[in-house]
Amino acid sequence: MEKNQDMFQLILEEKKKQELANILTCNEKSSQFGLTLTEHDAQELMVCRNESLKRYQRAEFGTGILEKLIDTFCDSQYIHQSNYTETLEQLQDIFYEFKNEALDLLTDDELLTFMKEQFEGVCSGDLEYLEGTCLDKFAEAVRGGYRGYQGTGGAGEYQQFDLVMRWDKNVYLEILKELFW
Amino acid sequence: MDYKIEELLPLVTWLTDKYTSKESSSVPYETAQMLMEAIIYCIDENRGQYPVAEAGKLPAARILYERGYDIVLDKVYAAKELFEQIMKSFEDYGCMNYRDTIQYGMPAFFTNYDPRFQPQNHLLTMDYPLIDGNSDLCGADLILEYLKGIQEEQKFLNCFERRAVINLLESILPEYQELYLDNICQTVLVRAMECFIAECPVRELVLSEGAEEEIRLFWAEDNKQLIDNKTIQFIRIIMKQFEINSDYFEKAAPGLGSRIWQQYLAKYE
Repeated sequence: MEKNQDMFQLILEEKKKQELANILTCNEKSSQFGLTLTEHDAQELMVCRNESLKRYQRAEFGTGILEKLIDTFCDSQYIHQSNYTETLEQLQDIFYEFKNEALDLLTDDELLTFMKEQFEGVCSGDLEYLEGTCLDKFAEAVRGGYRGYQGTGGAGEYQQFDLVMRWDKNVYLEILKELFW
Repeated sequence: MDYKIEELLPLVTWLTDKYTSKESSSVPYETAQMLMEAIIYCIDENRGQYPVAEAGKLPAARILYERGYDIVLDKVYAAKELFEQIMKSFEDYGCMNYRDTIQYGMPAFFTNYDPRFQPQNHLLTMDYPLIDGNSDLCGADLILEYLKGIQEEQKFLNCFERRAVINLLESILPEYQELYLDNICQTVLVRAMECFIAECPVRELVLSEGAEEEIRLFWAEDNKQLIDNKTIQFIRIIMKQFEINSDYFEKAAPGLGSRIWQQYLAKYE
């Protein structure tokens, strides 16, 4: 067991060296949306990432998820410079949590696509709703054998699991007619 | 093979990419652990080729891993060939445990064994034990060794009439077909020794009246060590008589010795 811990610690140490530079490179794209990370922010994100990995008992190899997460979410209408680092910290924690919850059946891209779509849509930037409702229901479906996301890449998946009655254009027009015609 | 964990990490990273088809940047600890074990298993397949004294001159871990992987594949092919040979004349004597383990269980290994990601996992429980128990090996190593053992045991059992073996098993346990979980060879070999001592026809596996007392007296003066030594001698004689040129059964002598001691002498202690 101690040997295992050594192995996972070593993996993290190895990654640390190259990753900082890679994360800072992401500023080139995110700065177009007014979002940048300082070296301190990047290091903080890496520390949080390592804690999340330990919490969810996962080992990460290669370039890691942070760069992809930044790339996916940097154009979000709900992320601003003031909440950028904090949101990324939470998003990466949620990401690892739901890799486990979905039994590793979702690829990184499928999960990120689903997360981004709900974050911008039904969640309106609310991370608690994303985690506690959208992802929770989706992961439950995946665990139950649902595989429809493989054809869609994770896009347009939530509607079928959503229990909340959302905006309906036809109902709106009907009511409008009743009121004014 | 003495490699530092740092030297193996690039290999684990590479194998993880292969495992996830590069579609997942992280895996659960259990998966990472499984892949690390897969690498160590393949590297260890090279054991014996690089003495400890030359540890400093070991080839790169990746080279040894690939060589080891090829060795694992060769062992799987060898095991498959051996299994097909065994099945040509396999006799289970009506014993369900034996039949289920070999005839129905073993094909599942060849269908589902994963030499790349889990070469250490042989998948089967192999409920039918070999004459001296199953070894501590795992993966393809264990399966190959197990099948070699089964082949030797079938050769020995084939020296007896099918009916003689069945009668012997029935005399021990009338519902042996469903309930007999031990090794058949062990029972047959002990009875063959008993026949030899009591001068009954060995191939018939039947003891004459009064033979048991004769056998008890034969062992009466012996301690466990002496019984083991005599058992080895008996095994050699019997194998020679059946023209089986193998020392496979000799390693079972301590187990057989214990069984004889339990059966004939323990109650007089």
